Amino acid sequence: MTTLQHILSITNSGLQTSQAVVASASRNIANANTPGYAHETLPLSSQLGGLGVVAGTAIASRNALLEQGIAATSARLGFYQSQTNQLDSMELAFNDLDGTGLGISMRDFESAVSAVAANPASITDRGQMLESARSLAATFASTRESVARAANDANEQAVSIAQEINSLAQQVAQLNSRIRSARPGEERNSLISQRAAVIDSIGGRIGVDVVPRSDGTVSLISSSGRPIVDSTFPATLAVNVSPPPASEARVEFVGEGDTRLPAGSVGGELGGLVEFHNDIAQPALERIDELAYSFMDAFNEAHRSGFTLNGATGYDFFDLPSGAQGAASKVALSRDVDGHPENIAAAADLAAIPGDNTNALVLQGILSQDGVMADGSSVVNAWETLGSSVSHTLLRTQAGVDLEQASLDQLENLLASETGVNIDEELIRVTQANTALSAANTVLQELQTMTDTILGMVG
Amino acid sequence: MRITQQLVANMVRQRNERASANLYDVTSRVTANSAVERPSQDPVRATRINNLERFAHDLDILDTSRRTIKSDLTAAESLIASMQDILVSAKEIAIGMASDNASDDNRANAATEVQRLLDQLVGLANRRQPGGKYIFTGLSEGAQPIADDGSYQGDSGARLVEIGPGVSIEATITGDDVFGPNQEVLTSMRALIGALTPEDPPNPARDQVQEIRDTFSLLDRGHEYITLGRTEIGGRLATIEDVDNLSLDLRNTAALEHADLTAVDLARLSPELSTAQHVLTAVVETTRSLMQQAASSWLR
Repeated sequence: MTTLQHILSITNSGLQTSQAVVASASRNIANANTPGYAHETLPLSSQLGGLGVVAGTAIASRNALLEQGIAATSARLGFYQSQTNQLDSMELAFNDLDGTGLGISMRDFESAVSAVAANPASITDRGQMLESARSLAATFASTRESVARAANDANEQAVSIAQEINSLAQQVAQLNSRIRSARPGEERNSLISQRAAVIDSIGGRIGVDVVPRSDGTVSLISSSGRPIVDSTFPATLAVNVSPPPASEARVEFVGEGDTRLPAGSVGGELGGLVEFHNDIAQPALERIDELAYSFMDAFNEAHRSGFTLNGATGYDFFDLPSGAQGAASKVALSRDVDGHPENIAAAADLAAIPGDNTNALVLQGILSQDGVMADGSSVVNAWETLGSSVSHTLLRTQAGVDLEQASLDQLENLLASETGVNIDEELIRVTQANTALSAANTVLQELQTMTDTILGMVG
Repeated sequence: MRITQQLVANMVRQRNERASANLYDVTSRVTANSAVERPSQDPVRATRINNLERFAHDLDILDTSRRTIKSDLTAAESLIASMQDILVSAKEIAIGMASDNASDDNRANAATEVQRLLDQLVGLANRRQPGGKYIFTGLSEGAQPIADDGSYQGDSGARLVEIGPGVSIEATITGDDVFGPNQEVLTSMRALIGALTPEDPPNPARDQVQEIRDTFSLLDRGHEYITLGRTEIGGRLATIEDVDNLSLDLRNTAALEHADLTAVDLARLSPELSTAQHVLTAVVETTRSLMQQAASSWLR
């Protein structure tokens, strides 16, 4: 038999459940724009014995598959984006279209040598050839500096990103720890949402696989298979750049006592920057040095076989460095010709000085002469190929950015559609809860009336 | 699809970013000096532009070479023209003096006059160019062509210089070219001076008129050599002239192609710019409406 006690109990459960529903809807509305937040639902069930309704633990509507997809896409986007940014600035060093690149300086130098070939007795033209050689040297140095700066910027950014990853990994580990000890429901869901936002940030920076564990924590595994976060234990990353000549950037795990373990290949922004340094900027630097060295070597060889205006021979034109490393920043005139235009060896025949231009013609052709570079190409071709390779790599990474950005947008939209907050839905829930509250209120009023009537009858 | 606040925010952000980026891209292209400012914008076009600029640069080098040689050859032609006049004057004197009516004094004065002409001719031959070099010495441009003793000090070497794509000419002039293989121009005038100069003591058996007449053929041969030299130089100048015209044609063709590749096509970009502006405005308006709706939802 239903007693007043039963009615009161049922009404009370209705009131409490409605309040819980309103509170849940309020949390959803309040977090409608919070990154990583997944809207929560409150499962309702009838109490045993028909004693009303009870609200279960709030459930956050997450989609692990989409979240993994977003993390992976963010990692690829970060990879391409970081390379695009670096290549964008590096391309300027290879851009002859603005009339200031190394290719332009090479042409100017060819012109100056050609003027000497046309008029080998002219001291003025010889002086201009020396001036043009100095200008070429300056452009070699500035081009190398631009590329070296891009490589250095990539390293500095990689170091900074590694520090950010370390900080984020600590946050994930701390959140894991709190999630493990949190009661299921509102608090735990909130912590999971916070962790999702942090994992999102890590994913773009290094690229991780999220491995959920039974205790509610997650491990973040890098693409090399090593954990960045193992449940409540964060790893520490560092970027190490080995000194020249074989300068290489490496991501390492820092262990106890500062022991280092190579992290292998990593993804995300960090992976993009490391790959940019090792596979793009560093080889480009080495190639520019090789260009400068091979050019100077070939030019000197031809110059030594010619005769100066005074009939001397065997003079170097450039002061050849001891090796190719850093040669582009060391291009300089030899002491024999610096300030001595008469010592330019334009003649090939001692008896035909000063009008013989045979050697000047050879010198004029050195930049375009096949076989000067070790791979059989000419200096000009090698330079154009290098610039073209940088531009094509930039195009490829830009295409990667476009593709991954489109994928990421799509995945984020799918996830937002599935797990985001719809204000109208929440308002409906609030309205439903309000109606339930009104109903409970009506029941209470009726109960009051019934109680008053009964008391009146008794009294 | 379930429409959530995040989805609306995402879509508004994405469309804003896309519309802004598109407007920025079109605006950059409209305001750019060239259709391709960086190789990555269009690698194929950039390569073609680079090739054209390299070609134009090669033409510049050839132009410079041509200018240098043209300057030398023009100066040489002018000097040779003066030398020709001198030879003509010498021949006139010879003809005037190859007569029994001319007295010994007349001939002595004429000898002095021809010597003056010879000095003048040697002065022209030894004239330096503004850069300090001599013109008529082959490759020995630092040596005075005619020494004080009248001997030729140059050589017969030639400097070939490319003046056009695949076209080279000799940039140097040897004594052979101008004075004859045995310096006939000079020797003929010296022979005339000898023929005009009275012997001391006088030689009654001397047939001075015949001696003077004998120099006619020498002077004619000298004149022939110098004319040949002038013709040769004129031919080189004509070649330069032809290559100048060819170079101008090539340069114009390259410039047109370069302009085609680099010109910013405002007619095509103008509607693109307008569209991009309208799209951005539409996105902003949509964003405003959505935000108003969201605000209304909150207020409800």
